[in-house]
Amino acid sequence: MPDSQKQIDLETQEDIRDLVLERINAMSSNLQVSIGDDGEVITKKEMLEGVKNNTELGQKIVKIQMDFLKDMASGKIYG
Amino acid sequence: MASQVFLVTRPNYDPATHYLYYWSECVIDEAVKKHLRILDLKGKAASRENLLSYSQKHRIALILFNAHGSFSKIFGQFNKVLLDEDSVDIDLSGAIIYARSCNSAVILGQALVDRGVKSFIGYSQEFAICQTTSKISNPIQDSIAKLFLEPSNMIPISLIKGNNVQQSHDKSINMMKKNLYHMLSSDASPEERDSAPYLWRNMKYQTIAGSSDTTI
Repeated sequence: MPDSQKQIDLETQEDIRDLVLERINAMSSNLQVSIGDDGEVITKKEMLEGVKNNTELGQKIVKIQMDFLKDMASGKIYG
Repeated sequence: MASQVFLVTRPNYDPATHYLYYWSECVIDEAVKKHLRILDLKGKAASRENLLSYSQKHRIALILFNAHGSFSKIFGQFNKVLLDEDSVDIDLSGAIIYARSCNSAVILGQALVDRGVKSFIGYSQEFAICQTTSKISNPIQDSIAKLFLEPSNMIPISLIKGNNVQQSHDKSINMMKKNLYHMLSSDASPEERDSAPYLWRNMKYQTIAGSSDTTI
């Protein structure tokens, strides 16, 4: 992959992460999520830390949010 | 005529299983109304040993697994393995299974169908529940969790009422769709709106392995 393409991909990833961070920042603090097999609930604070630090949890949250936004944009949700 | 047997496993040791434990009671109530024989493996009783014993003594028509899971395993109390794809000694042939657990539909579900389970409804990705922080000690009163767990309960309840697997799956999907549209509307609370990506995920990845036109 050319260096210029790598740079664009990196910038896109950062833009996506920023978008997800904004969505989580706007989220109610009275909400938590149980997902996955570790049994723990994920709070808003943990989501923010995970996405900021690009942890496994953060990557999972980014994927869930982006899948949702893509499916909203494509109209799949209303199919 | 002997009653049909309904087996439910409901460990209770963390917030997710705590919610599933209490929300399963709505399904058990429906099974009582329809005079099914109920085998309730709750809390510590949700063990591999008990599942094996019940599978040897009863011909089970319907199973509701509430648990954490993986692609090849379903867990019991304290995340001990309850059932995996190699558990050939646990004979669940002839049963319809709904696994309210992460990821288990693809590998485990298909393996069980290959061994004679009529149908397996589950999730090909992680199953999510959003919860209201202030309601964590009272799961049934949590209106956000209700948006997730009422459509999920619809599957076994519909099967108990005599609908087939496809009809029960569709009823659940339709209820999730109705909830999702509300969550995306201007009438939604902030918590409802923020929960929408997670309900969409459950809806998208709920899947059937095996026969879809079978009943209990």
